[in-house]
Amino acid sequence: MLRDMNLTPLPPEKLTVRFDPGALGFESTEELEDLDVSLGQSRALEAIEFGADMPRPGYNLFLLGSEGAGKYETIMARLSAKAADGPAPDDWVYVNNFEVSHKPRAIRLPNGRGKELAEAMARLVEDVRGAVPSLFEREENQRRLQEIQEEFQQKQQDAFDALRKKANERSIALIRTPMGFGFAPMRNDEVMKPEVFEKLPESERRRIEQDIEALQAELQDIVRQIPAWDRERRAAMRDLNREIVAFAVDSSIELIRDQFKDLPQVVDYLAAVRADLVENFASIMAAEQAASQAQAENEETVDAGRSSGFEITGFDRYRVNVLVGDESGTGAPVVYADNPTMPNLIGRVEHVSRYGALVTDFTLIKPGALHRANGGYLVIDARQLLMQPLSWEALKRALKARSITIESPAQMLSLVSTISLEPEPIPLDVKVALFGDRFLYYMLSQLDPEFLDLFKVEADFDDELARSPENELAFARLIATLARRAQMRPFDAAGVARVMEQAVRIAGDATKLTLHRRSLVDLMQESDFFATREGAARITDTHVQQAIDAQIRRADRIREKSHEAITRDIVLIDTEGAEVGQINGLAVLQLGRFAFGRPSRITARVRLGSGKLIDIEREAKLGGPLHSKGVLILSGFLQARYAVDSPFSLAATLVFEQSYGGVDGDSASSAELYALLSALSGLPIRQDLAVTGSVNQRGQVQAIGGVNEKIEGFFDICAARGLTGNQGVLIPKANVEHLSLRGDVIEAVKSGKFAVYAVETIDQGIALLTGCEAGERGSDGAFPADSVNGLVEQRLRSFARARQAFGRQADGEPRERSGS
Amino acid sequence: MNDDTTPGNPLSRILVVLDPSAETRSLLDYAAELAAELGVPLVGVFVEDTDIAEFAELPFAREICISAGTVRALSRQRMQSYFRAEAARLRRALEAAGRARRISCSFELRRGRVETELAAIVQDRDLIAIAPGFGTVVRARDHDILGRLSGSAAAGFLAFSQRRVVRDGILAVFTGSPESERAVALGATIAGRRGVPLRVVVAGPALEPAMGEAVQRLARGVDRVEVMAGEGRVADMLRTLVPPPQMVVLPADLSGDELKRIRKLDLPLLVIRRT
Repeated sequence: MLRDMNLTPLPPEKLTVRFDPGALGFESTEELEDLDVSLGQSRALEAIEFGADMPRPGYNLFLLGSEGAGKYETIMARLSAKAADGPAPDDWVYVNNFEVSHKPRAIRLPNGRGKELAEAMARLVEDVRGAVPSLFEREENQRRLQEIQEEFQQKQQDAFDALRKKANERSIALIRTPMGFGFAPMRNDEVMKPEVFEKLPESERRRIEQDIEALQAELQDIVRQIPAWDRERRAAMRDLNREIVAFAVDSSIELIRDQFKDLPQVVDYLAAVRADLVENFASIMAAEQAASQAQAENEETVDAGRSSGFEITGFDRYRVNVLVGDESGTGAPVVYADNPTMPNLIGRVEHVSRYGALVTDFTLIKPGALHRANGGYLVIDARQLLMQPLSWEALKRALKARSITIESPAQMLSLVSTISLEPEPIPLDVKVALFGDRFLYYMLSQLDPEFLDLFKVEADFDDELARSPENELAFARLIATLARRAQMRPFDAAGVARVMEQAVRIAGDATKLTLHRRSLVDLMQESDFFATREGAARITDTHVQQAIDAQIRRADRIREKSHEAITRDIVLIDTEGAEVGQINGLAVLQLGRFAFGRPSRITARVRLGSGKLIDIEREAKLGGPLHSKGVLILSGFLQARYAVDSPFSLAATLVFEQSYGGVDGDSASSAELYALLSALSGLPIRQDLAVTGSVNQRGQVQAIGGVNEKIEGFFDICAARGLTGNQGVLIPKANVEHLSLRGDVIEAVKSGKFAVYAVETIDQGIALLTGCEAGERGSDGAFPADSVNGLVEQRLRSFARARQAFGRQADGEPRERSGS
Repeated sequence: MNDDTTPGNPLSRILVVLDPSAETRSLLDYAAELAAELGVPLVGVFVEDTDIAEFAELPFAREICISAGTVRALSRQRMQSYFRAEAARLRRALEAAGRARRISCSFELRRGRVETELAAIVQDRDLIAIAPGFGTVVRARDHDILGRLSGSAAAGFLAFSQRRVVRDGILAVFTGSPESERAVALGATIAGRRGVPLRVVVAGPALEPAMGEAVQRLARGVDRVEVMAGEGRVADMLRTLVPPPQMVVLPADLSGDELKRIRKLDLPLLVIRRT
């Protein structure tokens, strides 16, 4: 295994991806044609096309992908293009329900005609408001009203006259009193004085009293008839009023009826309006006048003409509340619900204050996003939707019922039992597109049994684009398109190349380009900023690099502190020399969108034991399950390799030194194994190397994440202390294709000051780390005695023997000395 | 008496005869408006009717309530309380009407019979305003209070209509008599104040030039004056006017039948007498 000790460092060209600007085939993005910005999302686009066209219920869309992947832009662009050719949506209006005022009626009208109806009704009210009162004031109508009044008064007058005449014949006068009438005996044209009456003969007094009693009885009969006469009068007045109003109203309503004769719902409504106007005109006018007076007296200005219930007492009862009325008539609506609260989705009923109480009516019904999107498409951010109380349930209910029922949250939860406004539900025909991260999609799929019934189409957005000459050119066109759309300066070829290199870096895979739209656009915009500041005509690689450096600079305070702690030996990391049972592992810290690598010292101690590896991180409850799993794998590896036919009598402890937070992941398991092998073999490990990679039970080193950050993290520490030329990092060979290292690392490698080694097995790694062959079993089944494996096996066997000796001693046999 | 009245105005005061009815309240507002136009003070007169007070003292005095037809006993004490309360209420209403029009007003409280008490205070340039159907006592022989007041010294009477119709202009009737001259002059004054046209109906079969000239002289100062021949009954002609006038100013020397017919038309009337 000598070759392992002399493992060749990876050449610089393997360590990063460089795009040759000259090979791109253009000088600047001005030469490139626009490209569909949904590059690399064919799967998602096919799903969107399918979902948008599928007419069956439940085929709503869920666009899943990482945050910033461009889901919103893609769906809005796709649906807008599709909607442009679609039919314009119908208008919806709410009008008064004259029979049940708390249940306003919904009327569907062809696009643009909702406002037409509202204007026609406003004109009607204006006409009626002016025409009817003047009609009432016309002389002939006043005369007819007067005749009715006079007829009533005459009836009373005749009755009173007859009674008065009868009384007069008996020298008795009808007297008007504070509350009514009385009868008094007269003498000499004056009411008889009490003393005169007292002097009358008894028979005369009795006669007078009897006469007066009889007259009083007759008067009572007359008074009791007055309400009936008054009813007759009111009925006659009402009939006349109806006749006058009908005369004034019919011609105006007829005009509107002609205008909307093709819409039976409107014709029905107009019939109801006519009936209501004819029946209630007088009370409506009275309410209007009371409202005007109240306004004049500043008593109530906001809601004049509104009753305390749901009924509007003034002419506003004939208003048309145009809930949805798109007059543009250009295609189906595409609505983005940017604040998907429950009321913003399904609409709401607003209230106004009246004498301290909140009142409402049909004119205060407001549309929600579902109303506006009806007949088209509604786009919602799933996370925002789920964060709003009751919004998710309200949306599902509307989609299931295929109608929009406006309810308040209190109504939905049955928290109120008072009568509320119940607008007539409106039929719903909408395609909903939710977008969110994958976690949300899978969580909803698992936890909400209705979800997959209602959102049958998943549009999964890819995060990466495989590199190929065609795709790289397409990616360059994507950069050109995004730059033009955002009105940035054009990129020159070097600028594009640098953006693409960063796209590879973000993808974390040398064979891929990221499709993460936000990262890409942010970098381009920030590059444009630096170019603008410099007054450059084009964005070059220098500007892009400035933007990258600035991004790092803004985010790397913690990295700086962390590395400073190491360079000041507060956190102990050796970058020179060799130590037994001690190795430099590598960790990645993700803070926001910035990740950086940091070396971490791992140590191992061994002694005689019962075959237990103690993971101190796990014991201290600082280790995650993946880390624990990695440590258990080490035990499996050691037993399988060294103690197949003998007791595994090892007790070992493993620890991440000076680690005060949690540790998870198995990327340090190879480093931990190296430390264990060093401790068992007694061979020191080079401290100028750092290690990353997980290991399986067969000793194969496996790929890990964050390889670039890890290498750069160790490089930064070494560079800070001064590169010696011996320093480097061991990475899994499978990670080589993920390398996309910083320029300064590449330069150091080129000049032989730093090295990156790709290892496939633990044997390769331990040889490099110890400078000693790992060793393979010979024909006798034994490892070479001076190899790493040989030394490890010997140590483990000595533990086993010592353990056996302890066992015999316990049984009374002499004790055997164990190794240290 | 106020001698500072406007030329063409034969009136010095408007006396409003007050009672608790709603008609009187409307009349009070109308009279206050007219007083403000003519620049004369308003006098409210409330008479505690002794007939009704004495009636309340009779042992069998009962009141049949108009609203429910129920019967209840009356007493003098109750009547007195009622009169006091009504007097206070009507005084407040009068003062409010006066304040609203910025006119001088006073309140007269009398006790006795209405026509007697009015006759006692009326002066020869007073206009008496009285609501239709006025009176606490509905008498056997005569319940027309205006008729009963015709023998008083008043310069005229105001009758009011509550009909809400569009009205325009002032109409005066000219017979050639001194009171008709005063009627036309007063009509011209009111028309001038209101900025509305004056129409003058000359009673008689034909319009004589001399009468036309007299009318023009009397109506000097009014922008729009129209002189029409009566050609028959004035009441018939008034009935055909569209729109009806805001006010009709009549001389009292029209025949009694004519006056009655005109009053039945339910128009705001000013009847001017020769005093």
